[in-house]
Amino acid sequence: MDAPGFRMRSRLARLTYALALLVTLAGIAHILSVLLVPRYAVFDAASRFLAAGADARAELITPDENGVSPILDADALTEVAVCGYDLADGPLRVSARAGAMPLAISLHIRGGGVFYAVTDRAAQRGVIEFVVLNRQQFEERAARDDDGDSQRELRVVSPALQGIVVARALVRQPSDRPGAQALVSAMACGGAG
Amino acid sequence: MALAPLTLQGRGPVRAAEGGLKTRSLALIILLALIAGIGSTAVMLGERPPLGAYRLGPWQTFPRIGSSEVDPYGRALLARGPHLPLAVGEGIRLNARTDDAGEPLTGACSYRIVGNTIPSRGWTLAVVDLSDRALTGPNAAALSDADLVTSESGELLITVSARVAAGNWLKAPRAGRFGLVLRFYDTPLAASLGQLSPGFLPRIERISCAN
Repeated sequence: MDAPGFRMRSRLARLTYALALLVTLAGIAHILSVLLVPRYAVFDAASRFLAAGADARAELITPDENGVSPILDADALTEVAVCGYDLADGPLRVSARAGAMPLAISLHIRGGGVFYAVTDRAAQRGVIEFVVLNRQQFEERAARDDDGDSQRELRVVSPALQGIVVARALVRQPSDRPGAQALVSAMACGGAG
Repeated sequence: MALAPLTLQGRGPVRAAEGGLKTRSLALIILLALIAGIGSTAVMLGERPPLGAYRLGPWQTFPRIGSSEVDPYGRALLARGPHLPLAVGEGIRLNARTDDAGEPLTGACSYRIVGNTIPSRGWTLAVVDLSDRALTGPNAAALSDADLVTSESGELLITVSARVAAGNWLKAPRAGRFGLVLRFYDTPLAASLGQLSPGFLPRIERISCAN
């Protein structure tokens, strides 16, 4: 075999190998970074508002003095209040009273993602109420249940220990705004024992 | 003898040089791979999820972003900033950056939003910037279904323009491109978007443009 031909093939092989390695490693870095962003997130809504509602009352999210909402995809024609939760402290009981304007309650986990939502159409005697638990708490509670107990409360299993409860009311007319603020701020989120 | 260093069985010093080169090359490849991999993640996680878009005429929605079935890109996007997406069952959010003809929405033109809306407890229409953030201050512009004066036929008709218009009017910025966000709250169709056609949603028609 002549030396220049061998050298050429050797370089080509090394270049191909290097490119394949580069693409493979870049792909791995891409996938890992996409998967790790939620795990180490500090700017997601749940991380931002985890401390909200520490007094068992939802905290109203208000825009700053320039009218800019801290929520990137906020609708100016809604009012939103949040409670943070950490199920390491025990299950959480959420209750809100239905009002004159459309109301929805949703659960968002830390790192981003919604896993449950209910609207005021599901209210019983004008109240939306449910308990948020992790899988272990759910099973312990189910084991403690007497017959019929489980049917008296709606239980929602959170896929993460930490998250936020979001109450959102639609402000269809400017005169609805004070009522909508009162409605979402009245959401209670305390320990469920 | 002069060819000996080019062979794989090269002498000691040549082998050492090749080994050094390999280490430097490998380090460079790993560095480039990290830059490419993480850089491509940053590019893909822009203002909207790269996957899961559902298009209805000029309107685009990402139904899985509000569900536990959100894909890893959607979840990473939610993690990058305080987002509170509408949950499936809570409502639908639709974005438009173009009119029905596919031309970008711009403050130099006026538009007519006409047609149908899907059943819901209420809906809102807002002007947003190209990051899909609501405009604020004097540029803020949003209206709800309760704000509208409906025609005898019951058909929706809203003018979107920088200049004041008669009837239902939504203020557009005076210059530059903008977007529209249409949100339907508590709609029974949130879980069946696949059955909708563009005719279920309002059209965005260009009326005229300033010279």
